[in-house]
Amino acid sequence: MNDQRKTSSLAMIWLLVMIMVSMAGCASAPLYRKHSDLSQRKRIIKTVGLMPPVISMYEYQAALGVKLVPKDEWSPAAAGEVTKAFISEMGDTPSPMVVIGGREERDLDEMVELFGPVDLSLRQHAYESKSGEMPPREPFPEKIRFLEYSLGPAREAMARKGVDAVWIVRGYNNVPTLGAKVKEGVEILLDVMAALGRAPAVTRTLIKIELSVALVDKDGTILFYNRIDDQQIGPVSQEYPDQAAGTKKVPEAGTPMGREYGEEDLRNPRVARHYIKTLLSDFRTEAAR
Amino acid sequence: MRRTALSCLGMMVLLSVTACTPSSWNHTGGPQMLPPPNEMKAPEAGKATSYRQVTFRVPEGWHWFIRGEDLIATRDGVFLQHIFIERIQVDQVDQDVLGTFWLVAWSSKLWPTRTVKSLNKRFTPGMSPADAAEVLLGSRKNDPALTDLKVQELTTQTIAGHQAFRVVFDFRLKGSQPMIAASPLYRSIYCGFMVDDWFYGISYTAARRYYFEKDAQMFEAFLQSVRLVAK
Repeated sequence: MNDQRKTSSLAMIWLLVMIMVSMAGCASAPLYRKHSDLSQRKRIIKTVGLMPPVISMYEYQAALGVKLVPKDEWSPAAAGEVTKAFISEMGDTPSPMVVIGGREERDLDEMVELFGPVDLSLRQHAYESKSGEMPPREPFPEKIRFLEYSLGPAREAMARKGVDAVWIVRGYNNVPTLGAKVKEGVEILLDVMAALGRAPAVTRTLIKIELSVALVDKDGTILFYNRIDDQQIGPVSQEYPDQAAGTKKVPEAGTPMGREYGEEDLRNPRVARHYIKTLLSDFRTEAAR
Repeated sequence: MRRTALSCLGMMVLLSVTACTPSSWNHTGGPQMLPPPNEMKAPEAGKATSYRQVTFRVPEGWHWFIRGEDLIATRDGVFLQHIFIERIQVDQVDQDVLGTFWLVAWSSKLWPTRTVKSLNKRFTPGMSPADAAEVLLGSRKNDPALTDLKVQELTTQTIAGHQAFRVVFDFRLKGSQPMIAASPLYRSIYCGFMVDDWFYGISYTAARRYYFEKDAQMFEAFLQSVRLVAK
């Protein structure tokens, strides 16, 4: 009973943490960071690998507060679409992309695991704090100036895979139910009315999708890092003709594979491609320099 | 229902304090001292307090914060590596972590291990290092946030003139943590000793991959800098 209570309270803390992480006070400046040696090191990178994306999926349900229900069974589909989008986006680059599976190389799997806390440290310590931002940043002066994080060397593992560097992708997706969308719509309406009456807005929109990517070389050095969420990226445009646009229907819990997914769902190929294209556009700019 | 209400309450508090969060981490290394803990009882008449002040030297390039009553210091981020000092009175039942401004140094508060809350045995005055190690490891085994705990080494070491246990153990943080998804393997070196009715714990925890080795030697220097000063 005591254990149960402890587990429950821990889960509560993490739920709150998730909510905190999911809230954004305001739109942020571009978030990419590059290592000072990127321009030199990228010259010796001929072949790049892509590790399996780690995408945590949640169903965002309408409730008095915010209720996020883990949906691990949705993750493979989302990761699959992100992988396809990545291959498609990098397909026209001179360096071939090698898709690396999970559990093929322990060193590389450990790199992916370690990217979780590194990503957390980057987001907390490598950016200036802004008023109203949630959670508040904890800037470390030297981390703001330089991208100097490592995931540990993996020379032999990369050599066996025939790659000089790997991309690591991680993120989460809070897929709203129809009820949650209605609730959010009502809250926005109330905010508009409050603004008309010159009262401060009190609600904030939950982040639905957030993705981070890192390009990591054989020494484990993160050469490029970028992060994006739906509040920065805006709505998915209809520029991808390979997928029918306007799939507004929000899938119910347990929606089988193959059905159309909504505009806030990484299982939707158009959505995955839109995010990956945006995440990599800064890299393309940097790589072209 | 209770969860929803709690998360709602949390949101309200969170939103109300966001705008006025004071600055958090200290970025200056060098000699520092932990403030006396709130749990320190007023000494009985005619008797001096048994609590001793803890002084130490923060390594250059590290960032530190007094989390509740404990020291937490890191170079790259708490979930990558940190040094931690905690002081536990024998009859202590809770350990303040959040403090008044609970969003300050937010990531330090996310680190989930809680020694006092997970104790299944008590520290006692005069306890041997071996027995104190057993209490500490019992707490870690009982901690709902940890999994895959493996003790690698248990020895003794003299710290600040006191015979301490030194235990090295590996663990992972339990799954379903949105901040980091799957936990990497962590390694801790935990040194602890009793002085009268106080337990003093000094530890170094880091991701086993890359980060542990990076600062393991630095932690040894930090241990050498720790002193207990009678008030």
